[in-house]
Amino acid sequence: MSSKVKIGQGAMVCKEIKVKGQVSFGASTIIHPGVTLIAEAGPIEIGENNIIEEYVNIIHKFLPGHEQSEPVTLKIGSNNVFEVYSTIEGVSSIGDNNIFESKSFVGRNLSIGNDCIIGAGCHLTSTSPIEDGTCVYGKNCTRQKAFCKPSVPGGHREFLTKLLPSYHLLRKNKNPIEGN
Amino acid sequence: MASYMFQKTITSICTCGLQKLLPDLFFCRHCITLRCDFCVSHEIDTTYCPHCFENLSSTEAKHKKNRCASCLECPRCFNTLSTRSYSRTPEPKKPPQKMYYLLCLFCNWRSHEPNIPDQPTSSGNWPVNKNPDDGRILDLINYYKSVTLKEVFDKQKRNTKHYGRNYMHFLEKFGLNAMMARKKVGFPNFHTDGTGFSTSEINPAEAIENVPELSANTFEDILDLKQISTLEQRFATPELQAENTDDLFPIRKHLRVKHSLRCRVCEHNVVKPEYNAVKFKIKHLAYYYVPEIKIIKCEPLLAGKWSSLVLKLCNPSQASTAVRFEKLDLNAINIIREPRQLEGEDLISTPKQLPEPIPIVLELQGDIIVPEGEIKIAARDDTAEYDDTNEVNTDNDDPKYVYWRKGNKVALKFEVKPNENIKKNENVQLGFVMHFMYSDTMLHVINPKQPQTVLVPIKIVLNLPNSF
Ligand SMILES: [Zn+2]
Ligand SMILES: [Zn+2]
Ligand SMILES: [Zn+2]
Ligand SMILES: [Zn+2]
Repeated sequence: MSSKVKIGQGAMVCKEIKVKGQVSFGASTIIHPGVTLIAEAGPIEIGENNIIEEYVNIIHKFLPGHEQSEPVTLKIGSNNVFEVYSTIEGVSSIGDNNIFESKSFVGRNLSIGNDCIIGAGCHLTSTSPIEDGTCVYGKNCTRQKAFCKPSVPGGHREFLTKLLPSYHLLRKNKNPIEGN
Repeated sequence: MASYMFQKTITSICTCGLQKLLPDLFFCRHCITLRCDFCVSHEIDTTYCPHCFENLSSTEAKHKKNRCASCLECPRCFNTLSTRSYSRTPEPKKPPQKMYYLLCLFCNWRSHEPNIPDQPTSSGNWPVNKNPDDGRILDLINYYKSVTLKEVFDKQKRNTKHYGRNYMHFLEKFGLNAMMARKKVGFPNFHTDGTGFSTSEINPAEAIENVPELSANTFEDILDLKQISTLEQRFATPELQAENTDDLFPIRKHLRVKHSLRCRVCEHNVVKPEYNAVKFKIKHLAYYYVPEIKIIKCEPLLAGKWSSLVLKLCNPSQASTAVRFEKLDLNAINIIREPRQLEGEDLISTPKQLPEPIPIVLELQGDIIVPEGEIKIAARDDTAEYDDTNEVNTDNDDPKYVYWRKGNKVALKFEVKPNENIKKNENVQLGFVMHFMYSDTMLHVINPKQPQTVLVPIKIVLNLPNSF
């Protein structure tokens, strides 16, 4: 697996992740072990202060049969939380301050704005963009206005910064570019 | 009920004639027969809140409109809301104040201004949505109550003979008992003979001429679907039916009912829940008495050919039992052997027939050879699994029919022959009667002798998948 990883200032990236292609992690982003990042259709740029939990899949691939298309960069904004087992597949862009709850799935060509909550287990395959401040919930993926901004419990980030390094090997910051 | 473990291929025919899975059946120990949810009467035992488990009496529940006073439900996804706190400083220099709001942990709905302002206490006197037509509805209810009462009086005047029995339940239903009591005490507003009894006047609803016009841009404004409530959300509060998601109010949690089941023939309880606990006082499920049948091996079925079928029987009861098989006689299938009872049974009332036994219509697509003679099955012993020396006497078993036995389980060999004309991929329906020995361990008032045993016949239908 050939990969080019760029880790920003203060970011924590566990060693036990699968990376393919060119991925950059913004400052203070926390990547748990077991995460899969596939950047075949162009680089993935992950912004600042994101939390990507265990077994999250971020897959940036071309549609089968379109492998020769022009590479596109997948931009993921800042302050997003990807909870355990959420899958992002072929999504076009992700803004800031979103929460992707456990086992949620976001499909191809969907763009997600800011301050959105994708509920646990929601399987989004439509391509109509998710506007700012939307809450998607339930088995029918009902989209409604979110009444509160998604937030991570206070101290969660500090807790992870303290705890993760004591139990997991991290990709070193000194060595920003890692070949295979 | 743990029905996922049960094979849907095997059904039993209840005494009333319905085909059911074993976990859906009850066993009346007085009639010594199967009962299902159709042939038992369902009664409300207690009302309780599914979230805080508070038990309420029926009058209390009625008074609270069958909703819990303290638990709230999310108006968006209908899960229980939880209370969250934060501290805010209303004015500089003053100490911060702790404020509470409601949050749904499932869909992230949050109580919000202006409908539901954040509260300074955790119990929070959360505002309850008020129906604008409450007054009118109350008027109507009172009016209809008085109309019913008038009817009662009229009927009483016509027919004083049968007083007291026939419409007592109506009195209960419409909450008229209190009114009758008032009448007995001698309150002036009710006249005993009904003469001069006046029903309160209500204003009939009036149609209005001037309906407000729709605003000009109703059809032109771009719809923001995020703001529109779903039908489900509107129907949850039928009196409000807010169209805008901003106007959704928390819903008070609906109460649930624990019900007890009573045999319709002998009027004994088959299931009775314990008050204030997630337990049962009485729980006579068929699953605890009737040997459970499972298919463990079935040779491919071929039209007109005999193939072997191995069924495993498992005795769930603490007493050993014996089974005896019989072919299902389609001509005699509808003869109902009720009522049946034990010797010396203390009846609380004379046995009744089921109001409407359902005729059994069954078509069999094959022939079956059942094991002959009586086959004993040992009692269930929870410690047996830790005991290696646990040997079962297999001397009396006919190896022609008994495949193996182990503890309270026995595997029996059957032979099945589907009809010549069965269609491809159509299930083969076969049936037999299993008589099982039920040992009665109840204490009887009249006949306190040793336990009696009774053979209970149960009609079993197999629905064998048929693939060539
Ligand atoms: Zn029945
Ligand atoms: Zn409650
Ligand atoms: Zn909710
Ligand atoms: Zn009974």
